[in-house]
Amino acid sequence: MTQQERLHRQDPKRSEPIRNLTGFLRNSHSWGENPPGEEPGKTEPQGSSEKLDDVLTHGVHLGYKIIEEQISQGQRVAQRLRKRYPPMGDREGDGGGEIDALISRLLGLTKDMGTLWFDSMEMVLKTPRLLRGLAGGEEQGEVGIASNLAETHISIEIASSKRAQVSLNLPSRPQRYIPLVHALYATNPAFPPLTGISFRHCTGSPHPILQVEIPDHQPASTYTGVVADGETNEPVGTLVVRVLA
Amino acid sequence: MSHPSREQVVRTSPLIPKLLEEYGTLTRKAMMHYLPSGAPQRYLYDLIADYPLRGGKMMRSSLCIATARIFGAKLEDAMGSAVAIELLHNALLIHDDIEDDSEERRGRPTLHMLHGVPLALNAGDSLCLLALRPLMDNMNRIGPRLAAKIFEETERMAWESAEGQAMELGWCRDNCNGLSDEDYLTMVLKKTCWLAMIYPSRVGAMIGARDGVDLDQFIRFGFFLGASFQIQDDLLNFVADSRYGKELHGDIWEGKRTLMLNHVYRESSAEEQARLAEILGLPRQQRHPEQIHWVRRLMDTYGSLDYASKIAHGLAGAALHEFHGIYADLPDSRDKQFIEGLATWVFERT
Repeated sequence: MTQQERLHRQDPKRSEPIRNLTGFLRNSHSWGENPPGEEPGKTEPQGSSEKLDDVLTHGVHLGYKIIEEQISQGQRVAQRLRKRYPPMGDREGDGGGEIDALISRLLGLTKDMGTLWFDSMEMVLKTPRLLRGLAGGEEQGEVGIASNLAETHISIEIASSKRAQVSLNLPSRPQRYIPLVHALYATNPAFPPLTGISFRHCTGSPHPILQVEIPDHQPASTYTGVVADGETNEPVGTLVVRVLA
Repeated sequence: MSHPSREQVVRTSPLIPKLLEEYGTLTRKAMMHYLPSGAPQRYLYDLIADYPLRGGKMMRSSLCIATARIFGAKLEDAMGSAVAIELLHNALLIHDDIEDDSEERRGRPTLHMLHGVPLALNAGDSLCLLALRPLMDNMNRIGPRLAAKIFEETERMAWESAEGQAMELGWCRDNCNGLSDEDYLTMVLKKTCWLAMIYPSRVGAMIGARDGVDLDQFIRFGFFLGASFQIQDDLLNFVADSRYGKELHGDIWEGKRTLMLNHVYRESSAEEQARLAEILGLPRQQRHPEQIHWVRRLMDTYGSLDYASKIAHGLAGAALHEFHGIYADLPDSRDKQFIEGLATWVFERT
């Protein structure tokens, strides 16, 4: 057989593999855009692998479409509710507005769902600990200091030319271990991780100090990471640093 | 036809059943503390305890615990929410079984088959109520603010689930046919994914990371994992195996608008569509076995089970993609491996 007689495929137009998911999805004809010449509403008989690949693509494409719509809807609802029920920091007084609104909505829900739920939610309202906590904003400081520092006795030192918020969550007391943070990461992989995070002990004090160094060029973003036990490397808490623009 | 079979090669890490057993046992033990006893024992409390005592995979609660631990929480911090998830799940199962007129659940007659609809309905309501207690106990364990946020999350999940259930029941009542895959996936997102995957993941992340994580990404992950889980669950309905604890072809008997049923209707000829609509328009009690077998044969003819299986695999792949987006930067752990492994376990569970 000569070279000319051999069957061969045409060279593809692309110059390199297309591994982009968007391009992969866009090439499918299987979600309502029938290929040219095909009867609308009818598809080919099942069975060929090519058709099944289209089916798989169709499912994933549809899935992303539905879920992005759902998330957008959720964001719109959240914005609407935020306008009706401003968050705690936006209100004067005792700072319990957000929770008041939440409880009102819960009550509305339970009334809708019947007397059993209603009775139980009335009980929530009468729970002194809940009401105490709601009125006082027992958890989560506004800026800079994390929720349970009083419990865990950790001081924070921040070296930064930018405004930053630090939230540390350590459910157990660190006297039992030496805390360690490897690095904090932003959701954008292009942003460099925050690596200048360390815990140190001061002479004369049993409680550690968390040192956070933020370089001047650090992009504004939320950086998160795990606080680990320095000996076992088991996760014991989380650390969030928000670098503000 | 390559529907799910016992010959499938098992690829899932042994860690999945191990952690399900480990976290499931702990959750079940904690749940038992919330199950009341006393009079009227045989009319209420025996019924409340029935479904929880039958077992179950405990996947939802385990997912919540594993997510919380990945983000740094202690197991005990997630236990109240895990118990609430299982109580709510069992409550909804009782209601689902009544609404679907199902005959079997976890290999035994459904609660309303054993005790009648009124008592079963009352037990389901009570289980719902019972789920509030561990959520309230969260206030002492993880603080009132986070506990209140989890309440809010529970409210959203309950509404989404109710909407999804209403869509499915409405389609059956009105004999809606020719539904699209988009209709089906939207219904599954609400009916299944929120309680099964999205809510446990988001609550786990809230407990572990407090405010330090974007919760929207768990909606994507939970949806893809939950939808592939539900489609596979529907496919298992075509396998005669007592281990699955479900009635063979039960979904066809109940006229459920599964991905396969919607597909076979869309692919059928006008004559076949008319016969399908006629069968699906009958009350369950008036359908005959030969009609059910005809629908099944039609699905084989048009490759509806293969079609659904392919979509389930695609969605599981998307779930893995979203998993890496969330967890790639977090340290490796048993819990992280467990959640990643759920995407393949969906296809191999029994």
